[in-house]
Amino acid sequence: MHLHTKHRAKVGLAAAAAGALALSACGGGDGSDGDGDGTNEDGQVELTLSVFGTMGYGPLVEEYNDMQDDVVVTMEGDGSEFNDDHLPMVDSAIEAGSGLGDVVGMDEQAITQMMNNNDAWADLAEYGFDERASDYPGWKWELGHTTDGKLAGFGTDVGGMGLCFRSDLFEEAGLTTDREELAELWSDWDGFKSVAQDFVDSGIDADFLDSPTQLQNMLLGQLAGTGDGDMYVDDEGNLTLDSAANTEAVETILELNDMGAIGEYVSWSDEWNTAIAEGGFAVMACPSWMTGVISGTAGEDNAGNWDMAAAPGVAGNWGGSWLLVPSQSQHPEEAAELASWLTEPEQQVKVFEDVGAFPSTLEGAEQVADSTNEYFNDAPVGQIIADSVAAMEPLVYSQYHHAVKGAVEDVLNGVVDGTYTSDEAWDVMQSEAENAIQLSGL
Amino acid sequence: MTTAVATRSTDRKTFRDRLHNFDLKGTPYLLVAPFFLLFLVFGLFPMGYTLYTSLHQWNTRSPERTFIGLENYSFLLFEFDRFGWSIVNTFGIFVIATVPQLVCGLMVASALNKRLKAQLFWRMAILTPIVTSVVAVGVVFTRIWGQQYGMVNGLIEVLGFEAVNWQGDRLTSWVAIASMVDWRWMGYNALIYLAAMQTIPRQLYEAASIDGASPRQQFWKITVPQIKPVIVFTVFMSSVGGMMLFAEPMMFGGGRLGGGSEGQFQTTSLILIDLLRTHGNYGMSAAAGWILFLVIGLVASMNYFIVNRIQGDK
Repeated sequence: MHLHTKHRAKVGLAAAAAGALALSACGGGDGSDGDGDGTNEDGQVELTLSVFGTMGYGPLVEEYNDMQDDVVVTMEGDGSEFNDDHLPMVDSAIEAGSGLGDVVGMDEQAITQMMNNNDAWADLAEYGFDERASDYPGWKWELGHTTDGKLAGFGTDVGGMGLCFRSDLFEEAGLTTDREELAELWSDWDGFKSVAQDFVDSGIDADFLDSPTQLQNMLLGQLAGTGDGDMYVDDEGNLTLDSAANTEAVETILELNDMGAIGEYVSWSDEWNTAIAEGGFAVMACPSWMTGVISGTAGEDNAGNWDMAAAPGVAGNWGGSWLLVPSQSQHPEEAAELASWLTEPEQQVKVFEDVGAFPSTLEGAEQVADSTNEYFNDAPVGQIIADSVAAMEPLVYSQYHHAVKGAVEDVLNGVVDGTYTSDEAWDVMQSEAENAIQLSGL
Repeated sequence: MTTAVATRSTDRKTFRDRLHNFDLKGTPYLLVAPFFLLFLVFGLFPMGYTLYTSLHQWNTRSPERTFIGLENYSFLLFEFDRFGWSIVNTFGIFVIATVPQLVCGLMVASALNKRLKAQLFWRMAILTPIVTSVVAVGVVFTRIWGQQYGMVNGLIEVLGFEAVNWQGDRLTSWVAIASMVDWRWMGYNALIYLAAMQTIPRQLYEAASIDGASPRQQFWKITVPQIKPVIVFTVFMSSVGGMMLFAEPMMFGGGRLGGGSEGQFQTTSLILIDLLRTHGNYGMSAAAGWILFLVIGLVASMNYFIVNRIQGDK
């Protein structure tokens, strides 16, 4: 009996310990050192630049450190995934009140959500940086402001829009590989569908498109820009899945899917990466920064296999980032100077040449407008992207955009992999999007 | 004078006595104190704080914290279908993973318990998966089960069948994830069984042989009953581990927390972290943590009663 109770206690303890492990799993948090006053032994100000993905600031940080003696900059987070690593890190550092870099990279999809948190960001206008307004198109400049009007940071790049295509697969399918002709053929989305049909009919062993989600991002951005600006959620926080833009975007995707033109390569997955190199699909939505992703993933062996043409409807934007200065920085003025320097037209052009992120400043965009990309058969990437952003209308982002976007993408992937039928798609999308808003708990 | 001495000596005795007493009764507590202090700071406090958090509307992206009682819990349990399904997924993967894992472990242990050449090598070899990083296992197995470029599908196509989208369905994705768990933990369980088998007295087998029992009969009538407590232990350990399954399904989904397009392989741990990281929703994530805690507690006590029943039968 005695043994019995002991045993019971042990089991209880083991269960408690196991449960505690499960609970404490939500503790953790990444953070850099927030100690001291942010200067080193030589009295230099130490700044941390916290980036994600391929922002291309490595060489520029070195240059900045060499050209002056007052500030030492270290960069962290290069290559980290935005949704899975960078954004959660920023969230928890804001929550904790420390551990955030002095200058933080932020992607378009979460910028509104960040700007909603007024207290988290410094006001760079205090240091006279509001004079940079004239460098930028109005919408890019405005999105870098908190809801109570503080200037939190500067725009880095814009995505713009083009279509990248595998000329080797197009040739195999008996289609033209001339980018001018293609742009003509798919000057609108009906033209795009008929090219897709021709490609599918050729019966070659590759998909026409990679996945539904890349195309959705592109379509939605374009259609919302030419319509009322609404994407998934309007600026009052109401779901607008039935907006004209989203309806047409999703219907186009469903139609292409019924045609068999969309592959099951979930964006950013291993299989997707492999397929970019192996020729698993022929066409992909291509903002400027995607050129860097493709050349990096497909590698030298595929130089010349990929090409780029203007997208249907031409105008559009997907992605683009900002450099923000958080209020927890101990040296906001120095941080602001760094952020401002990195986003000056001259530096933006260097980044474009290095990793393909298209300059968001008016002057920078002008400077690269006639540049070509060797990896993409010398395609006039500068021209294609510049045309796509020239007539761009500002879009409405809401603080729910990021969450709802994820939910919609999951459903579209589900339609393509057969989890849902096309008829079910709208209902599921509505309920998943409602869940996503509820889950944000805002 | 004598009185004074006597008093002093009693005084000293009392102090010594106290010291001795303390040494006897107090020291053990002192010695176990570090664990409990750490448990208090890193175990109990976070649990309490998580409970507090779970009762609030609490998001990193908004400065307000509002007390909302059990709303987070009721949303997860009654409105958010994926959460219920995540518990089903967790149990499903657990069952598919654990049964073959323990059966294979038992077979392997029984083989290793025989006289073999290079015995030490075999015994070490079955342990290697456990020292492999779970992320590495995830990356490799995700490629093996890949749809377009995966090894399994390659084989299936060679045999003339149609390739399977392993991630697309509930059952197929469970099988793929269970394979990772099995590969990693089978050897560990085999080693525990092996250790237990070696404590079984040889005479039992000798007597059985003399009575004409076949090896199969010996295995089922002697080996298995003799190591029953150890089998119970491994079942218990794998069920607790299985309830907290996280890294394998995450890696299988390419590092995403959604667990497939429909959440078909989203375990409860994945939802917990998804709420925290994708949605920044600390309150709801904490609530999910507590529900998971209670589920694990439930599974553990169910195990306990089943074990009791089995041992009672003896």
